[in-house]
Amino acid sequence: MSEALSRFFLWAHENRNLFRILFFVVLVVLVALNVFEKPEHPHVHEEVYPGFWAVFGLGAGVVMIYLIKRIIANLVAFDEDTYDRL
Amino acid sequence: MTGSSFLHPAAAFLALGILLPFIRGSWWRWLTPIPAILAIYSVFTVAPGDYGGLTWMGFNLSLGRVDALSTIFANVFAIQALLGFIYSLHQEDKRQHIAACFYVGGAFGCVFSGDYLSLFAFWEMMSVASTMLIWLNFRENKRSLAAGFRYFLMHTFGGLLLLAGMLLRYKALGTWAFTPVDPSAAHYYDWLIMFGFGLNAAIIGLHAWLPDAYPEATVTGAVFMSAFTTKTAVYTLARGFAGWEFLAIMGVVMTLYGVFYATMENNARRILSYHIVSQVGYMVAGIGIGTAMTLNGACAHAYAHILYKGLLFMTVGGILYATGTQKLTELGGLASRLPIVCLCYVVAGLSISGWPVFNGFISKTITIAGAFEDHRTLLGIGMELAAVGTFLSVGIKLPYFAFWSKAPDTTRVLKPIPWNMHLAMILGASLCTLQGLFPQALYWLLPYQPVEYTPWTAWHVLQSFMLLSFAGFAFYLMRKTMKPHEQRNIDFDYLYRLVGRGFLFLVSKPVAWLDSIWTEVYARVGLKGLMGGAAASRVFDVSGIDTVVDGSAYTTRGIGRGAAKTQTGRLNDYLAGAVALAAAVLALVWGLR
Repeated sequence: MSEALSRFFLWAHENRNLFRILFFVVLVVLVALNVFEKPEHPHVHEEVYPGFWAVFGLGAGVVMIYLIKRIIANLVAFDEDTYDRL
Repeated sequence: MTGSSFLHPAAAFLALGILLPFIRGSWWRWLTPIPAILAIYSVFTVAPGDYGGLTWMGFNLSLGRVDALSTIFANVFAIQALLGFIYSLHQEDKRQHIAACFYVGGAFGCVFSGDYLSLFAFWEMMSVASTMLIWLNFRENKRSLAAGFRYFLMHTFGGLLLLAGMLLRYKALGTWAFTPVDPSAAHYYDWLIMFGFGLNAAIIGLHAWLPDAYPEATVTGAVFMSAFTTKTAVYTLARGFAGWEFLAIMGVVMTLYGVFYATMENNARRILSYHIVSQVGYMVAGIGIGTAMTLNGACAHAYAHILYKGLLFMTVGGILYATGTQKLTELGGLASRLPIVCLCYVVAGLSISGWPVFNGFISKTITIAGAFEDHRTLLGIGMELAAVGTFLSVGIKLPYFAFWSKAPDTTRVLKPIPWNMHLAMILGASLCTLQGLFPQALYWLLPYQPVEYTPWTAWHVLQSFMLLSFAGFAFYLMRKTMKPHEQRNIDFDYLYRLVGRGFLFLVSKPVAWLDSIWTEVYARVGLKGLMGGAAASRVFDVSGIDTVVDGSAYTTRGIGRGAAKTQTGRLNDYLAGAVALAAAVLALVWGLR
């Protein structure tokens, strides 16, 4: 099992472009499905629009990464051994 | 209702912990899973009831309160204990097993305690035993000593909050019973107790001990610690503090705070530690909202979380064991070198992210849906936002930079991972998957029945896939920004250190200066005054006291001698003396008229 898995991971690494394309296809399919599949009892009004949670996930992800890694991380980052010296 | 019999799960763990130091050889390791197996048998067969009541110093203690709430926590504790002891079966350091036995036994003791006194005793047992699990890593990691000390200080502080609260509560109510507190009638001692529990649940402000200590613990110890301390606290909050608005808001703050810090971190076990804060936040929020649905969600998520978080610590512990590092900047390209670890990590990472098929999907969504159904839209949105952050940091970032970000690493020398560690990971991954596929296997244990929530609907699945897949797309777009850096992100523990150093400064500078001034004043004024006072006392003693005392003595001696001379033994002398005395008395009386 271990060796078969190992070979699979090596194959996946060599064929990562295939996975990348597959990933983009899945994203499109998900939003397309949302045109037909809607919540019976929306938790927020915007849920009725197809792709709302896709936009939420993408927007929240981008904003969060930018905010945390570009701004907050610079404010709280110290040397790794800071606490060893305190 | 009083049940007929109950094998308290703590008993076997404590018995093994006491016996282990006296057993020679190496076969004792095969004993370590036995208490967990007995615990599983016990929690699956016991009927609800009150067992094990006893009287101690005039107080009625309850050691065996078995109901739906205690059973679900004990159930997952027993399963995770078995996984943890399988994972650590290769561990030759007996002390680690002893500490783990007392730690797990303490957790079972807390869960089944019906009164504050026995709860406190088991609570402190957990605190001491878990500190040992950090300290016992001192040969591998020098930081563990200081981290363990800080951990113990914080838990002592939390224990004191709990102790103060329960003593004041006893004084006010005259009972040790551990019962729910109505938030509208809460007293200051209830708040003390809540903060005592809250410290162990890692509420923000009192949480920094967790990401400080867990990354420094032993590989196997961290697996135990990820399961029991915070979840025991979640149990106590669910038991006593359901419906507290403070907890509802604090829970959502925890979910976001944890993912923010995890996103910045470079240390893999610290990422997981921050995610404990975040995931416990979902449970605390569910408890705080306090509806049947969110309380079920909190319990379900605690159950699922213990399984997948244990698995996360097992897999990352496996990486640390094999490579000797837990820094993402020093890892990469390990997928084909540690394939089972990688696969099990992916299962755990998807579980914590709430990905359909895995158990986070059937637990986390109950609390979020419960928040929306209780019209707590902001809280619900906050938890959805945290779900995005969870997937970004622990679902993608950690495995990407540990297993895939570089070309396959074929040159690194890896320490072989023992079979038992692999077995525990595979069992954990299987449970996370099975529970996700068959939610009723978890839902039947929930305290509020019937459970009116169905996770496996087309919409729930589609919504989860959309949210998480597009969060993954965000990672793809920002992957260069997400690259980890060697840095330490200061947290509230910086504040603790500042307070500690402030106290040290206060004692060593201004207070020491005041002390030196006082010493000088004492030397110049006080001591001289004292010496002058002593001299004056000596003069008074000699010329006053001595004069009076010596004078009295001399006078008494003179009178004595005079009296002795009058004792001649002749009758006529005595008669003459009596006549003279009578004449003197008569003269005195005549004179006083």
